[in-house]
Amino acid sequence: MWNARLKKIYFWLFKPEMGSRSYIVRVAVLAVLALVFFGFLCKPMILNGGSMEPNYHSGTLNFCWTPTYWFREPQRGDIAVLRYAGSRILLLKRILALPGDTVEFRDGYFYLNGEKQEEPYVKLKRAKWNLKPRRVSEGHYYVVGDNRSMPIYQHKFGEIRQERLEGALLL
Amino acid sequence: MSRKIILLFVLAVVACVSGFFVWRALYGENDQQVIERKMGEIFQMMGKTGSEGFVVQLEHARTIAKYFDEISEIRLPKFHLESKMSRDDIEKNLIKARNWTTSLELKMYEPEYHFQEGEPLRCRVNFTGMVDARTKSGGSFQEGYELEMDWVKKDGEWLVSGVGFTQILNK
Repeated sequence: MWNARLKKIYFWLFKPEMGSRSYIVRVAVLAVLALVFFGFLCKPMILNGGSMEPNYHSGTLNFCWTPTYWFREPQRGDIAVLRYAGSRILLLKRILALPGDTVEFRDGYFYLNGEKQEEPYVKLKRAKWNLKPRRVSEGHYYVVGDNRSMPIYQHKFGEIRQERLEGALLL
Repeated sequence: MSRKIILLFVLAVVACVSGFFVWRALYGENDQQVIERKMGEIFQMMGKTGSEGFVVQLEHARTIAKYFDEISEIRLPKFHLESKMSRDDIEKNLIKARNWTTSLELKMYEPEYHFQEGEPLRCRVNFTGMVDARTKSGGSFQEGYELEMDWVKKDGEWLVSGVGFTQILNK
């Protein structure tokens, strides 16, 4: 039944010869749908900056899929989109640790709950980051970029409140 | 006759003055609009597109410093600025920053205004700022920050009482 209904809507929207509605109405409906889809659900974004190099390049187009965390909790390894004040400027980082985990950097290598992590996605030469062990607070996630080639003070990373996770990267 | 004219003139003046105050109350700038306008002016004045002479530099820095309170708290550790500063200090640091760059563009996105009742009236504005700068050494610098700007109303005038980064990522 749902299939038939969806088919009917599809034909009404995209096949002018099928419907009796005017072209303008169809265009208006499509415009509203596109606005909702690209404005709230699948936000287009231009990546700027090299913190996720070489996996995600600066200047490329991607999308932030906001419903990702409506139905599940963020997981380790997710490429999360984080937001500053408002939601126009976004940050791209990888979630490395969950609330309650212990994180540490030793000579450029990431240690999760005391265990050294392989992290195959870190492809550029690692700078010798060192950070004392710390526990990720409740309601927070620990996010780091894939590019660890710069000195630790130049890289924006750390724990962030869950409300700041806007969604996950689509592509 | 002349008495009537004088009376009419006085009435007209009273009507104009009260009309002005009614118009201002209804359509004039409210506190938020004043702050918004002043922030726009500060950001516009802080930008530069090419090399500028010392007199122009001084003039810009002096004008911007006038938007600040006599003593303001600057919390920008990334730029090695973390102290209470007088207008003179702000002027000197602005000249230094302008000297360091050949072009400087600052953009403000999605400001959120939080007014605090009390005497004097205060307001904290949280916003995302984008800095796009080219340095004299040939480097370029483009980065986004979440910032907070504190405002205080003194003698009917809104002045900046503090500027700082909002830490959203905690290493």
